[in-house]
Amino acid sequence: MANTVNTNEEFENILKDNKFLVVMFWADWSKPSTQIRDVFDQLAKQATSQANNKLVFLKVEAEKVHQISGRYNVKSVPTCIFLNQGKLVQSVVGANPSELALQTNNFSKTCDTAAAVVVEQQQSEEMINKIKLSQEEEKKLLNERIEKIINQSPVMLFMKGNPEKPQCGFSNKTVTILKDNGFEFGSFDILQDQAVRNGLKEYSNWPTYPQLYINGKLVGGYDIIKDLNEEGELIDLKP
Amino acid sequence: MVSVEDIEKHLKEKFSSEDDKIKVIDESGGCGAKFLVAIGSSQFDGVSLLERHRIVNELLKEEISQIHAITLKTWTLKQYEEKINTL
Repeated sequence: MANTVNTNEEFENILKDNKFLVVMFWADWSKPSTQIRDVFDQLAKQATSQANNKLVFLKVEAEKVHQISGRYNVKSVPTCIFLNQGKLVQSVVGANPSELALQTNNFSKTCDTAAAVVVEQQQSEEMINKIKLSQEEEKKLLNERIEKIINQSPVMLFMKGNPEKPQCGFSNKTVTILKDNGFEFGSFDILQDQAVRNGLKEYSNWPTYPQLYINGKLVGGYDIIKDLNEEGELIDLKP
Repeated sequence: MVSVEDIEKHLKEKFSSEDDKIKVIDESGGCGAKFLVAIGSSQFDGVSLLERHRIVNELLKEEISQIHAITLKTWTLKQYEEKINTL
């Protein structure tokens, strides 16, 4: 099995004593990453049960131990990285069991061992399909959830922090403009929910926060709200 | 790190007409973290604010994912003349 790393200190200690690390990054809000993590455990079991194994397999919750994710520039989950004395030599981004097995084998060859881990072609394809289905289902569920949130209130602000305590300058100014114009609005703190934070960007086709929705339709971000306000058009949008 | 030149170069690919106006300011004092981007173009005529921003967001997708904050001013040529000095 692969070992879980919970802190940066633990990781540093392991790094000190072990040259060849295979590190899997996952997150509990991403089902595909938990599925790949399970495949990773299987591969780890196979490899470490072999006589001259030199590889150490580690699992890291990407957001919990963000120093490690940050250090190796891990931008999404699942991501698996291969480290030779702390240096990144290879990575597998996304859910691809056979690629993971292939790179593990390649990596072990460079460390003079022969991990020979195997993920059967059929098993891998089944897993990829299963993951694809659960990704699609997850996306559908997430979009349904997002739509519910958008319609929680006729005027809905997706922001960093909340109106009483905004966590970003643009979010703060947006709240001020809305209040100055006498808007009643609901708000959602996207810092508290990674799935919505990422999902809404895709749903809205808008890359940044804050995002203002009125009657289920995206009005825009701070720049647009500021402009509309200056032109006197924002108040027309009040439901 | 994203620079003013990176963004200008990228914008000129889409806003390549001689009349198009582009102004990019690094508001983070050279840290490449916060930018103000002002564009004046006839490509924005008759296009809603939301759509204008979407066009620029799409164009600068790569850069936006790397920086901390961006302010967009998407103006028609007339608006650009009127407002560029208010920046």
